[in-house]
Amino acid sequence: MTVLELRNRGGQLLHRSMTDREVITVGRAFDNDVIVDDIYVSPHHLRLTRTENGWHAEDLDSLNGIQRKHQQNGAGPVSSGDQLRIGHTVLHVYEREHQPAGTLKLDRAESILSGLGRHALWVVPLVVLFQAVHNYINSWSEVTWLDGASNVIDGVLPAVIIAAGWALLGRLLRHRTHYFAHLCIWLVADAIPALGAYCTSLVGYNTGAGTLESVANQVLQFGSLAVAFWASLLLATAMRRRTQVLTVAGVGLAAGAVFLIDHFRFSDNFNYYPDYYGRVKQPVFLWRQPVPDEDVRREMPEIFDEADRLMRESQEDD
Amino acid sequence: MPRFIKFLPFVLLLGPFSALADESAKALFSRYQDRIVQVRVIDKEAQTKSSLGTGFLVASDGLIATNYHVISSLIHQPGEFRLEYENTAGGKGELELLDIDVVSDLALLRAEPFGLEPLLLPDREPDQGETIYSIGNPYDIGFTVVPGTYNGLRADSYYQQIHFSGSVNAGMSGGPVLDTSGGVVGINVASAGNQVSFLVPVAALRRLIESWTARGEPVTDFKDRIREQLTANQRNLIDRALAGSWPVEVIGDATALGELKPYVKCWGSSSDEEEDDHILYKYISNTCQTEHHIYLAPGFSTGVISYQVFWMEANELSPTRFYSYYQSFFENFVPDNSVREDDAGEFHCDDWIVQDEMGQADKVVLCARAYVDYPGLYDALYIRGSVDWKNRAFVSHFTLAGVDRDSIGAFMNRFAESMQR
Repeated sequence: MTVLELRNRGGQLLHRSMTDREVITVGRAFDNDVIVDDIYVSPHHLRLTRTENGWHAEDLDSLNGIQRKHQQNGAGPVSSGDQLRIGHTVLHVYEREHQPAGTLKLDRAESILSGLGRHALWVVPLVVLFQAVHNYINSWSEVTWLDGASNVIDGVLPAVIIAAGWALLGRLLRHRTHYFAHLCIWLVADAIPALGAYCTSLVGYNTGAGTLESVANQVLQFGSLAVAFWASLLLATAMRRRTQVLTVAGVGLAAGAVFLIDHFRFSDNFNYYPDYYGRVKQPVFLWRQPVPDEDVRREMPEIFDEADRLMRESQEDD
Repeated sequence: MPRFIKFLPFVLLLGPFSALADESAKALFSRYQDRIVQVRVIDKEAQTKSSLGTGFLVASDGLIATNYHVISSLIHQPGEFRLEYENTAGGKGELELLDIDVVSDLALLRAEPFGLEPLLLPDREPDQGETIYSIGNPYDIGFTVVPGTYNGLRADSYYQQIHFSGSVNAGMSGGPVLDTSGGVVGINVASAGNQVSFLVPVAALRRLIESWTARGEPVTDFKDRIREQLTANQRNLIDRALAGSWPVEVIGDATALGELKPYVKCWGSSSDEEEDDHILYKYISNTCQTEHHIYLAPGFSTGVISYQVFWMEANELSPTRFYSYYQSFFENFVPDNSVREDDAGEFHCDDWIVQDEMGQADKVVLCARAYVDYPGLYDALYIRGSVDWKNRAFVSHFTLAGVDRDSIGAFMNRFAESMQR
């Protein structure tokens, strides 16, 4: 008994049949044993003939011929598991005893993520509302509805496009789009750093730790991107957990390396402008105890000492 | 007929004056041209001129004066350049750098004696409106005499400069400006375009020659000499500025330091000038700065005092929105002088939330960067802004360039005291 599968180039199953015939004809014409609905396939495209070791594929003078992976002329002996490309269709030939691929364990994370699409109804409006409020806070002019809408569209557009990209990939690799799940993932990934920045700014302002604030924001930005990437990867591809972790780690490390290279490449550039912590917040968020003016005068020498040290350092580097 | 009579006196006056000016220019140039030279900074490797200026004989032993900025590359890239001159007859010779006055932008050079009497440096101030003659070699196209008028010392600058109504162009720097009797009035130094030019008063040159004569030997460490002169100048400047009473002006609901004459000139602006009619905030600002920077090297200037005060309010903005605007403003202050990477280190900054006896809370930022070749001198940037109002703010900022620690501290205290809200 032989199993024949017709799949499209994305791997999606179009047709599966079992047969015990010794000779099988494949083509677009209705008198074939396997009828292929593909305009690039000839009416009588190929013939499979059973042999002692499997099958033999014979090209029936088709217009586009038979191809295999890395092989232009695919006619010849066929073993179980072989794939013959005809037009835009791929014919898979299996013996009944052929061992299928290993079973993939159901992934709880994947189940949760694929269910995210159901929450799009409230996640999308919530993120859009957040975007609108965020834009409103950061505008100092009269905001018209049109401006507001335009800013929100600008804000969510990247997530809409990225989600479409992942959905397309999912469609190709797993025949599942999950567009709204991807959209939720990327909208949230975009909103979390902005939301987090409000929190880190409160901490920074009240501790005076500007550098910590900036590092925390970068970690938040990088972390949310990494999580979103992993989540979309999980949904769009059928990778095993180990491969997923390796892919996310690899991409994360590559992105981190690019960031660090960039950082160190420009860290040598002379900064003509003062890099001071200019955070100011409304009185209700001032929780730290102000110091007397004398503290500025008392700590002044340290600023000059540090300026001298920076100057000496830059000279030594030269 | 009455109209003709009306114009007659002008015709009569203008004719002889114009002829006199032409005659004087011609006579002055032919009489003194052999005492005026083109100063050339020669790149030793390329053996070609790297920059040009004009100079003139100020002592019979070959002493020549020019601008500091003409020869500054000799000091900042030692070993890479040499100096030479070419006179109006085409004769050339080597020049040696003897001394400088970086604050006035003057340099003293020495050539082999010309065997000529020097130009006179009289202690006589011309009358305002008197015709004087600037001589130099603009754009290396040949020696030129430019008549113009003497308009006294600039009233808007702590640094003394003569306002000359005539064209001084590149290449004329360091050239003499003579009165009709051939005495030097000033030295070409800068131009603001449109016949507005500036001269170093001859008194500064006399002081430099006296200082050189008293010492009798060339300066060996010019960077140390510059440091010495900058330090003395900034101390004098800050001490004098601190000694006087400081004018106060009202800005919004606050009072702030006004125009600190003659050190700075102030310009106001407000949100009324903004093109966007939909803005929901208002501001008034006053920006004051020195009109004159001390040139040290290409891309490196100092001697700046500048300060700004801002009053901003936005009754129609919530505190969150107002502070979003206020912060975008507060975090973008920059210094008002320029340095190159080789001239100074990077800024180091610190910030505080301070509270005064009245319970008013301000954010204060202080930044400093140290000069490489002039130890003890810094550029300082100070910013102070209120953080206890919901939708109003009062911000003050100053930049001091090329100043020592004590002067920065003293100025900062007085500056903070002068701001009241």
